[in-house]
Amino acid sequence: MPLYSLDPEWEDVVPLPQDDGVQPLAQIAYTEEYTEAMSYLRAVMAKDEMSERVLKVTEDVIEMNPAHYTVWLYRAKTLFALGKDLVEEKNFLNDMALRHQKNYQIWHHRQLIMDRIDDSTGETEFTVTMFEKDCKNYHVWSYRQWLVRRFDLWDKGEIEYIDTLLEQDVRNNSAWNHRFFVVFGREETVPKDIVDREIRVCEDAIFIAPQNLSPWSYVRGVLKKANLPLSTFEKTASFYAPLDNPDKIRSSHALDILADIYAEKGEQKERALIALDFLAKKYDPIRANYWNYRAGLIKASS
Amino acid sequence: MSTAILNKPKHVKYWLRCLKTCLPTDYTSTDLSRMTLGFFSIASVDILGELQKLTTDEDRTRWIDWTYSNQLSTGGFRGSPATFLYGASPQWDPPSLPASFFALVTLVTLGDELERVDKRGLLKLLPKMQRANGSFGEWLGPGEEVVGGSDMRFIYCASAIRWILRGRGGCGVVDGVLDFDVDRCIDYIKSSETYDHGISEKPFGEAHAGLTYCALSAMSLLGRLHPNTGGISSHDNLIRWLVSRQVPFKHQDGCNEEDYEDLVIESTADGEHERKKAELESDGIPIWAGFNGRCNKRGDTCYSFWVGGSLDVLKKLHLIDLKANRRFLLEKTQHFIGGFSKLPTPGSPPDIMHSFLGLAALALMEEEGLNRIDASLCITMHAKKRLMELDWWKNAS
Repeated sequence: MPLYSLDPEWEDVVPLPQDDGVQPLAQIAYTEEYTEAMSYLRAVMAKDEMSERVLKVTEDVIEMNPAHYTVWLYRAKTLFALGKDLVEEKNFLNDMALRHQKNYQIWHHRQLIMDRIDDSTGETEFTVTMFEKDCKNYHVWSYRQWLVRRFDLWDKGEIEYIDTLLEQDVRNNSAWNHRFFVVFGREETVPKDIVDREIRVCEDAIFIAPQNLSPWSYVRGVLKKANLPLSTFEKTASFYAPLDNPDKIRSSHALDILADIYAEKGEQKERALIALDFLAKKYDPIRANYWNYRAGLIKASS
Repeated sequence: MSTAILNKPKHVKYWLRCLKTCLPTDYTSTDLSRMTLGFFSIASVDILGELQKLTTDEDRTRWIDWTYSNQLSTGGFRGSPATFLYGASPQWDPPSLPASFFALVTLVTLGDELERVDKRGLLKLLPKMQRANGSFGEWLGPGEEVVGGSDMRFIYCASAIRWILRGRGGCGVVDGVLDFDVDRCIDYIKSSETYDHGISEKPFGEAHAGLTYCALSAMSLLGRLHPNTGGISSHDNLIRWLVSRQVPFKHQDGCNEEDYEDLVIESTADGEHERKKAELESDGIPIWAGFNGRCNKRGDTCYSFWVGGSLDVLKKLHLIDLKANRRFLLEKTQHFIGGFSKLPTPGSPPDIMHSFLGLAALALMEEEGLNRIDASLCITMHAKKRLMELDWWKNAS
């Protein structure tokens, strides 16, 4: 059903058809609606027109193909040129984002719009709505980091929100990563009490699920940032992987960190080899080649 | 008994269908990336070893012509004829970095010698598309504005274009064209290494295997992979992150997206998690184990390539369990009509990207009946060799 060719508003526009050539690659069975909307989009783009009807056709094309890369910037330039109410644009974006979860252009466009609006009211709340649908959405986490930096939201409930997410799912690695950003992403030294708190958070998370890699990785990151040796965590790791009592080993990640701790301490390389052997033979055999490789590196260095 | 067999005739059929008939309407959302889809299709048939046999000289010439028809007068390529404006408003018919890369590798794969590529024009674009922080944008917008997210994908495309057109040393083919700032580019990559030592899209982002592949391949193509050439300081940590991506297949992995999320959240404690154990071989090794792209996500076809490719670039592919990965791809995501689906969900359809990457992963791991591929360029070894034997390329090195 043609929407543009019969519409008086578009009467003066000569649509620009697509020229696919003789034998194209990746030809797509477009719908008639898409073919028509694209032809009118090309026509107004060719004139670099910035008008109300441009907003209509860009919305129409975005709806059918949100990954169309030039249409977003064309729309943004038109909105700015016409001095449109950008908060209204935000509502349009909310609706689009909820229906097109995997699209990244939307978030880029949103950044452009928000930069202009210069007021973050409602933004973190909207990302929460997105996370309710997919709490690991990469684009939305990336956008949230941008928001925190751009609007200085570091102490406006980020840690509390992460705590809630980790309570729901302690394996949510995106939440762990955001935590690292919030704690260490500012250009300032992190005080000792915060470092201690972060180590405790890891210990608590490991207690709930010792086989969850996220807090084990996180604690390595914390120790490194705080210039503390890995052996700071030796006692906790030994609790989850007592080398002298193999039946009580409950975490391959504990074995991994112990292997590193012992390898660092020159005189305990034997214990590192024992940990790696447990990993290869029993606790993580899918990575046997890797654990044996690590053992080989230790042997070669001694 | 293992049913792990690559159903080659079906894959060939799948790809010929992609090449010779229209893709379904669902692909409309990839309309602006047709150059990419075109490459996946051509490269897959090349990996399957059927490009010369099952397509004609005329087919290949016409695909080459189509690819060139998307070259812009400013240099570089557009992603699709969809943006062609008959010469008007060039700012809205811009060169795209991914399209330019995929156009070059498509041409190389089809046997073209890149004689008609505006090499000077394309190389001139690269420094224009680089930002002050060393990253690259996706396309060059009005007023030469660098547009698009700053992530590893575009760094990869720029680095690969540079390698293809300037040769290994980075100085050849076109004299007097300003190179992009390789040092800054490497600094940007290094600043995007995460606390768990994967690579993200930017500093403090979450480590992601696809982006890690792009970063490592870019460093390799720029000759900066090794710590003593200014690359990532410790490969050991990077390798740990990469091998940690291999995950045993559990029954919950076969669920659709919604049920899967519910299950994951319900089973917070380890005890419950354990009840959903993976099936093991008699030697205790999981039967099926693909790769995830981020920590604590489930296995997905494409990450067999992104992780496998990364490890291959580091010459450490042998550290993963190739057999369990092979069985994951062939028994869990290979589709009976040919191609691969993204997830090991029974009945989910194959798509072009996952079908290519599944095949590329198997080719990397030396699956019988497939042509070997070069991990960092993502083309077959013979296509790469053909490029390197061209006079202009040899002279460049």
